[in-house]
Amino acid sequence: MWISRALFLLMVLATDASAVEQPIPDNPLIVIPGGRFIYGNDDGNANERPRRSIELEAFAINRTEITNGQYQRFVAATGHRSAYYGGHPMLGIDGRPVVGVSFGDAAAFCAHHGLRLPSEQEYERAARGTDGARFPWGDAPVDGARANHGNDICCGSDDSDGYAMTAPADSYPGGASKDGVLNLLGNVWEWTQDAYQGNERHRVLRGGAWNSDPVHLTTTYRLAYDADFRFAANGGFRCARSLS
Amino acid sequence: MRSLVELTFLVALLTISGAAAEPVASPDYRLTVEHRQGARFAGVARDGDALLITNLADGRLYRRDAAGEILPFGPVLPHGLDTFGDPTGPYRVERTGQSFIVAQGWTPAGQTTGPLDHALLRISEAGIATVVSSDLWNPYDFAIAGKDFIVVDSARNSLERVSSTTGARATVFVFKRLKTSGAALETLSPTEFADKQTVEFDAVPTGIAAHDGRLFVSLFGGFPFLPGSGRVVSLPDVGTPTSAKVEADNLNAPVDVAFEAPRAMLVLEHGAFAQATGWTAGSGRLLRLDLQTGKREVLLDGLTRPVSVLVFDRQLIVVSDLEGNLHFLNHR
Repeated sequence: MWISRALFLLMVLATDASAVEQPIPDNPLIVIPGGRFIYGNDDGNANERPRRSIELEAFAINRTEITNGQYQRFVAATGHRSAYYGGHPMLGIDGRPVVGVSFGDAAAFCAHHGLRLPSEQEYERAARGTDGARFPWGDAPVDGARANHGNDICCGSDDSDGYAMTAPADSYPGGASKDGVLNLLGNVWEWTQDAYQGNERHRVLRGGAWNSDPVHLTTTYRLAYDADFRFAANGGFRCARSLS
Repeated sequence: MRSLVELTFLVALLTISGAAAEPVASPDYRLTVEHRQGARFAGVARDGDALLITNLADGRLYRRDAAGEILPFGPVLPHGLDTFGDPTGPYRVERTGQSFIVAQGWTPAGQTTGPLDHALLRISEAGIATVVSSDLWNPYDFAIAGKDFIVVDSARNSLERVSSTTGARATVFVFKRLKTSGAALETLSPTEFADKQTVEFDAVPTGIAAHDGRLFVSLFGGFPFLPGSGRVVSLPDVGTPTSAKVEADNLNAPVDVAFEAPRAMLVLEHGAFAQATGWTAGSGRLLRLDLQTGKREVLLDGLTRPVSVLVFDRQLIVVSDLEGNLHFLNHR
């Protein structure tokens, strides 16, 4: 069962990855087809409503969150400042998602690779599929085999899922989306390109993190933060590209 | 680890932003500064005519004699960055009789915990270190209370009484979390704080001073280090008090406290924190507060990452910082 699932994921990756140029060799872009999908959530906060069907053009998104190693290569190539936790003994491990980056840092990384941050709509389409599933894997509840999450009371870490803080970016294959994208829920909050309520000072992060409680660990929760804030030990990103 | 903010912040001290102007002293004082390249000075204490200094950069204790010569003494103690990115090592030193007592911080990241980590240590004149107690998490400062030590544990957020003879530890007081208005944080995150009446943050104890039968403790407000969220409180120096009296509030990350004269309290503010860029260079201050009248004076302004203040004598105050500076304030 385990092997067959791994083979399935590899097959998905091989198929989708071949469709687009891959600017980050160890983090392929996964193609998300265009079309209508369910966006928003009537059961969440007011800023998540309404649940509606919208049209979105095809795009591609990194299979995993950007890792420390990938970010360090960017720093070495450009002279951009390092991630705040790049030297941290736990958070700075290669293979783990980079954390301690501002919106501008994340956008610069993506631009360097000819990419951009995903929009909120792209995040939700990647994380919920077309039919508005609760989670990337469907509607089954979150558990420690599918996502790196926090405890039930905001906002402490929980190692029952195997990791007290960040987990490897390619971990939790059981929590992959139907398109094969990993850790769209949990592990680290991910910067999107969208301003919050039109105020560009605040940008929206999506997806919850390793310390998120169930309230925050959803595919529709909108976390708005000062775009310059770069001290989050649970804030990272991945990149996207338009295909139209 | 526990946090009440969704985006979790780990680092307290490392990042500074901006270029600081030179520190400026009150007209009543003449300021001289000695700089040691690469040093991260922390604790300062008096030993006769000499000054004792701890250096987190190399884990050494130093003695500066009256002529100004600085020499290391004692063993090299564990030092480095902790898992939060802060410097750890020998935070404080004091002479007690024929030996020295050191508050040694928690284990540096990436190092195996040794017997000298997170401990109160005794260093003999011959430089031999023994453990008074390692039943502590992050001993940051201490006061001498008879045959005991009152230790500030800035990880437990508590005061711990440690017997100098047996090393037995007993909790004296645990500092409750502090509260602030959520509106104060709305600019950081409109979704997390705008609709909250209050937001809690840690009351991290830092410096301690025994004075007039009470223990005065500076509380360094935890993340998000809001302006004015720090305070100084006092407790009786005996027994296990159930409450602490607020002696001063509206302080910016107070990191140490001392007394220049009865009721003349000196408070060292670590500085102002900017959410986007970290600790602001030159924002640390040394204040004098008259506990009777409430009057506040700035004795020294423009400090960057100050750590410890010592009233050496009636004429001299010494302030250390993590930039490798010793500031000498001589009363005119």
